[in-house]
Amino acid sequence: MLVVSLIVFSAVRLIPGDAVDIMFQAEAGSSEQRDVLRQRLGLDRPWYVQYGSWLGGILTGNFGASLRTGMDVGGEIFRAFPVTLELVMLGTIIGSALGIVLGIVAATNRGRWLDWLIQPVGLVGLSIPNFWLGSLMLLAAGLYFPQLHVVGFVPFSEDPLRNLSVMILPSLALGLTLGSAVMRMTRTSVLEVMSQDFVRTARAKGMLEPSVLWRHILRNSLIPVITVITIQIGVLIGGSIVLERVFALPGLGRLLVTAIGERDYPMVQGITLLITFIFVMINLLTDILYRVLDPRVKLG
Amino acid sequence: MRQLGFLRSNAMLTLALIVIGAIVVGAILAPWIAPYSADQMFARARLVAPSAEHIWGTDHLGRDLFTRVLYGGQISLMVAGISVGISFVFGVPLGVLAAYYKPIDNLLMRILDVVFSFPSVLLAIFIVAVLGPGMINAMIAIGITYIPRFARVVRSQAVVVVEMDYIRSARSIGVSPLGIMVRHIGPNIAGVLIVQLSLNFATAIIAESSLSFLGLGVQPPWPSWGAMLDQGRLYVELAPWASIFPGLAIFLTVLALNIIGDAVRDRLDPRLRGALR
Repeated sequence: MLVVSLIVFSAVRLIPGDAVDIMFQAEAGSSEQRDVLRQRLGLDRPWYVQYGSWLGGILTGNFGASLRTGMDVGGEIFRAFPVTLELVMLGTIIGSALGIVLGIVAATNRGRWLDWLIQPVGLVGLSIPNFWLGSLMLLAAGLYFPQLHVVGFVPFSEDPLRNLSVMILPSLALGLTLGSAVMRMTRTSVLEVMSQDFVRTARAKGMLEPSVLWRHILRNSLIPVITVITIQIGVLIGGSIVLERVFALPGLGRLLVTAIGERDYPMVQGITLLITFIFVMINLLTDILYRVLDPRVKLG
Repeated sequence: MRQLGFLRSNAMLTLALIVIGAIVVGAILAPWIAPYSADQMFARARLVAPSAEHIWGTDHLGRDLFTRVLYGGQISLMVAGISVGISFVFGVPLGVLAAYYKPIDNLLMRILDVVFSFPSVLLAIFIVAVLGPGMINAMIAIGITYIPRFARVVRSQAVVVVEMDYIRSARSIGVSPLGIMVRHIGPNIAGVLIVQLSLNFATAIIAESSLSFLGLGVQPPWPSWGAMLDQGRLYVELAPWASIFPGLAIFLTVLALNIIGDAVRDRLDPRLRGALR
């Protein structure tokens, strides 16, 4: 994590042009004015002093102040984070549920019409850019369900129903891509397990088909599916950044894109660090989950 | 059933190849096919619905959308192509080297694992954050992000090939390592590379359009499918065509590339050929 923080910090400093120059672009200030502002923001100090004070701040829970607005970065992130979290979580739930169910249906009906129907849908879902899908959904919602509140974000704590009606479309758009990937993996994986000897044995000893499916096939075919889901969660975080723009949601993505445009170092650093941290955590959880699902896996 | 599946997938493959061919030809021949020039604005015809004059309508500045989607194809395909080219040029040699020299293998694959574990769109966004928004930086960002994909696939294939008897014979008669890599390992991994090129080209197109959509990639007034979608976004209810057609272009391109990649992979993998059809 320390290495990550150093990489993030130095990488962000490499951005050409600095916040002060950008701020002054509109009203051309003199170079003295610029220097004064740099001094006040602490941008004139050598990089290691800046890094030290930033790292020290984070350890005490202080992410520094935005160079642009002067607002507390931690506070801004704290406000935006739940929006992205909700979006990613809903997307993951929708995508996994949809993908696993359809994948099993497709595999157990291999070669029949249900399979022929589900497979192309999966291919389409993988190929459709989710921000375009989002725009189309907005358009369709405007045309056919004008009474639905699809824009104008409200926190869940204030008005749960209104919040869900705003979040449902972006979550669906996000979940569809995940669902397609999960569906394809589930189908392949279930088919592979179905052809194994122990499944034939279970059937031969007179086990009923549903319990063969649950106890033997699913349990053994879920591991690759979970790998896909956890890899895709990263993709979902990326996707939510784009979808937040489509649906005008005040989440991390919007904060990040604005901060990149304005060279707001503390903000970019803070968000990057947070996302990386979440990512490391997800990878750790995945390893633990493997262990729970498959006793043969040893934690290294 | 198997016969039917084979026929069906062949028809799909043909269709996909035709679609890709049409899009590429359309993009290359844009200056000759397009009814107008890419930046020509019709001040009296802003956000006009599709008509005989503007078959896909116009955008908020009165520019002909059919024209811009054609020209946008040039840029989107070029950015995706160069990105994939960058990752190919760096990724393939890295993969072969790793397979051939064991000490490099461990170190290199560790590093690539770390890069790979990070979602590519996010990584690309961060790289663009460092380099600054723009078309060339977007290509570099996507290119770097995709290097591990090529390196890993190539390595996993090449590791098997390196152990084959004919490689050992080649080595024993004094063929240089470089010669072995180029002449013996190369042809053996070509099939897998075609699949990777096709599938990664598809995701690169989505990555480019995502970056441009966020305003971090191709900058206006250049037409790129993603940037066009971003501009159309604000007028989606007034002028849905400004959002529909560029998106449709992305979707069809990616879909066709995915179908081609899938089809080639199925042909190459005898295990899948029997089991999944």
